Amino acid sequence: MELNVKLLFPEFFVLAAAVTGILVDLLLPKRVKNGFFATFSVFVLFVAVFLVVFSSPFVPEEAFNGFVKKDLLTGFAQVLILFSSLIAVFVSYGFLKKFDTDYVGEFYYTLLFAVFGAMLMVSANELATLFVSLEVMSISVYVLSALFKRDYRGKEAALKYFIMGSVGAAVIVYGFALLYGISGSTNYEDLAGSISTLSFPVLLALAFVISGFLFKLGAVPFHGWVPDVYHGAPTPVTLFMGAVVKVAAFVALLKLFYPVFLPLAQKWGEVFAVIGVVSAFVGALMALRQENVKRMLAYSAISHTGVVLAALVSVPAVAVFSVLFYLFAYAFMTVAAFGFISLLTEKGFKGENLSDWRNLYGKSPFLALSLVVIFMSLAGIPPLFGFWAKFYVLVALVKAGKVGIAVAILIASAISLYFYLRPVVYAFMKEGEAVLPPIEPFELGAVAVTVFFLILFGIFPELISQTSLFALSSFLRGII
Amino acid sequence: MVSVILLLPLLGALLVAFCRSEERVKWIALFTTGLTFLLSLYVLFDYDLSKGGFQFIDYGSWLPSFSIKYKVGVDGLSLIMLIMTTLISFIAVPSAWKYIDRRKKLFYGLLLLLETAMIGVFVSLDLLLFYIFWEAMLIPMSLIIGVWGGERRIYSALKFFIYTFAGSIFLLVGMIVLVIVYGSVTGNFTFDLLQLSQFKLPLELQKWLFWAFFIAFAVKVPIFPFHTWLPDAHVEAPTPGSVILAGVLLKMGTYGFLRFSLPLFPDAYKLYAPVIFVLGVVAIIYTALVALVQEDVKKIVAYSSVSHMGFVMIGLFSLNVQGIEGAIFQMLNHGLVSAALFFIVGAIYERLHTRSVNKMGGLASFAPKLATLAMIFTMASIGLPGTSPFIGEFLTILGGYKAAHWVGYLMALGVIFGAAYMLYMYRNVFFLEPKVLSFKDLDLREFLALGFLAVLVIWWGFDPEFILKFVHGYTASLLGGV
Repeated sequence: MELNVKLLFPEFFVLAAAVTGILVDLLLPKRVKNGFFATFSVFVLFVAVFLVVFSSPFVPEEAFNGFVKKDLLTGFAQVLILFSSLIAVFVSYGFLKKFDTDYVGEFYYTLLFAVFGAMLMVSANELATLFVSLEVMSISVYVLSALFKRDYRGKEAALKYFIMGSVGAAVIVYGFALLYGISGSTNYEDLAGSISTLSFPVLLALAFVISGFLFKLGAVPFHGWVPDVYHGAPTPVTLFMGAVVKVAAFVALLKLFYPVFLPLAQKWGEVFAVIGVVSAFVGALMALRQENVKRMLAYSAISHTGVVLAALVSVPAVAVFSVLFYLFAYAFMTVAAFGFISLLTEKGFKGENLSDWRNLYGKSPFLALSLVVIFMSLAGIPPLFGFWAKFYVLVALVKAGKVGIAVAILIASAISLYFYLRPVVYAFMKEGEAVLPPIEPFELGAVAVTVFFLILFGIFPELISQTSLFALSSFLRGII
Repeated sequence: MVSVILLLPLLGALLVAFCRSEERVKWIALFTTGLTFLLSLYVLFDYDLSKGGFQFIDYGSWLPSFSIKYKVGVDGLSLIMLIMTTLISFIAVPSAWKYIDRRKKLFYGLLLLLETAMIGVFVSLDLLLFYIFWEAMLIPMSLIIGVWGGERRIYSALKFFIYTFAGSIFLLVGMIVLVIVYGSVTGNFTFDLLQLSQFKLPLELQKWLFWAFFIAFAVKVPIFPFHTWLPDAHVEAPTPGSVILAGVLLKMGTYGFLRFSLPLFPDAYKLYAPVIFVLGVVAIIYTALVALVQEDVKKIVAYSSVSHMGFVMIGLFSLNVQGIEGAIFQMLNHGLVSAALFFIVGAIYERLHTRSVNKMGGLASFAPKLATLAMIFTMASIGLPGTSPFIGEFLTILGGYKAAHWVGYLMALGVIFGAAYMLYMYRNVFFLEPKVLSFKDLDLREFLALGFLAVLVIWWGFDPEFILKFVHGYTASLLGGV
């Protein structure tokens, strides 16, 4: 076996950039830090996108004796991660100008560390690698949540996230330990060879691993932390959590479950379907009464996670395809939504509540129309991107003969329509004055671009379908 | 050609978005809707009657990975709906001229977007394309209700949006089930309506899918007991909103029954016809009685819409030539007449700022032009011979009678109630003692818009064949297949 180090070049590039960030941070005066680090991170992430695009192999390749395996699924996820992080950086630049912190440099390079963790997580082909990368990402995000001065809400969120996340991580690692005990190896291929029936140890291991993942994804019944953390964390960090962490965790889940537990796919598929439907309903119902948009979106995230999980009950290939498409759409929508909130946020968390958005159209028609696109896309109204995500999940479910689940998900989405309409109601139909802080052009540009993509991919979804199909076929090559 | 008609209003909406002046947008909207109407007339006259079937088909692959196509085209039915849509949209602009006094850019942009979506519903030949337009229409419509509506506008806008959306989720699942069953039997995965309607589904599945589609269409029509959103939406919507809502949106449901439910699930359609008869008759009589006790003029017209759509539904399910042709003709007539009535109600509201019957009276002496036109449309709504709704109503009653005698009798009873509430309203508004001090008659813009509709209503009352000739071929091929 060879090391094949060059396969991991994009990850190492981001890691090296983060380390360089630490060093440079010592030398720079404080006032130039925000501008410098934002430019630096944008540059790094841009280059990383190109590296990923040009280095991702169609035929799966392994490195470090099979610890890491890359295929187009990995590449697909990494591009999504990098894109979301790019927007997160743009948004952070504006946010850091509005909110004071002593840790500007730290903010950006910790973000890069988190990106590194996420990128490694979606290439992991071995339990320990998966766990370590998961922790690199998670710990970076805990730190990011607590970096702002006098932001007690953020610190509370960080602590809560840290404690809950650690419990989740412990549960996952316990499951991993059991798997190691069963097979004597932590490599996915070896594991797959030794797991074929649902013996008691396997059941126990599966239960732990599933629970751990549900923790990280924020699905019922392990969703308690999501609203508090999404609400409390600084908005760019919430954006990162909502998009990057979710994509990384879902893709890691696909990469772990399909090769390793394929013979049991029917069984855990059903578990995920039940949990998915319950999450979709719990998220939708809880979001109905929220006045804070970030909290509302946290519940909506639970609901969306549920829909993606439910798709896993379908035939493996179709399920992976629809999950990929959904993740793509969901990452774009989340980025746009939280970026939008961050644009409107002022000191003292003004601009996060629905009531602060009264008559937004009167203040800025462009922002108000973007709001319609973002929230209607989240609700899955055609011809916007979110509709197709929902559509493909439905096709996957009906194909597997689960019409009941399909209907249940759609009923949940009809319920969620109510709270997705509320921002629109406030922005267009209520009298009042919206607060509009000075808007950073870069930040606005980043949000505008994602909104544009929501419309573009809504009208021409084929682009993403083809990409997802490529990723799928490359992924399937690695399994069979 | 159809694609051009479909995209023209969208282009207009873009123009409106980039237009700097709040006043000029009206003219852009008027010009765009007018041009669209003229183009649809061109299609109407260019349609080859001797050939029949779908013509002007534009075709392109859109989502090859799921073989979802962009496919639009018109046959006799679509053609009439297309003309109705473009005409009503064209009339909606003058109805908004003064009524919409703020955020004009947003309004006309939404109106044009709405027109694209409505046209799309009537010309799509791909199930998914249809669904996309069907849903896409909700955003502009509920914004129009919610931003420029009356006091309870937010409640009504949300109710309209959520009600329709909740109904159409079953449509979406039904479509996917249909396509996947079709794919598993024939090995051909497609959303193409023409291919799907060649396929004979097992009866058991037809029954399920019929009800799935039924809920979506029934909410839109609306059929009793799904009609409760309609009075709210109509009453709160601004005049142009009501004009479009009554004129075009209600026809989408009946169009859906005819275009999808009947060809795709013919057996279930036949099987459940009696259920629809009962619901239709209840709608006709119950809502007519409700309309009789209303004080709000807009509510009376709104309930009359539900009542009239009952006639259309029964005609559609009577499954004979008279019933179906009458229903299609009545869809068009109801579009014209209810749009005109809402236009008139809006014109009165602009002047008096009230919609209560009790606060009006004697308007005829102030406004003879308005009173005359209103008389024409009141008579048309009642179904007086010489106006086009008479033909439509007569044919649907005939169709209902042929299907089951009792249906015909009860429908005729509904006509009597219809005359009661319309005449009652007309007397209270235009005759009796004047309760207002002054009242301005119609201006030229309003007069032209309403006069145009009045001419059409009377013309088609004497020459229904002008429209019906487009329907004959369609109905023959439809019933030949049943």
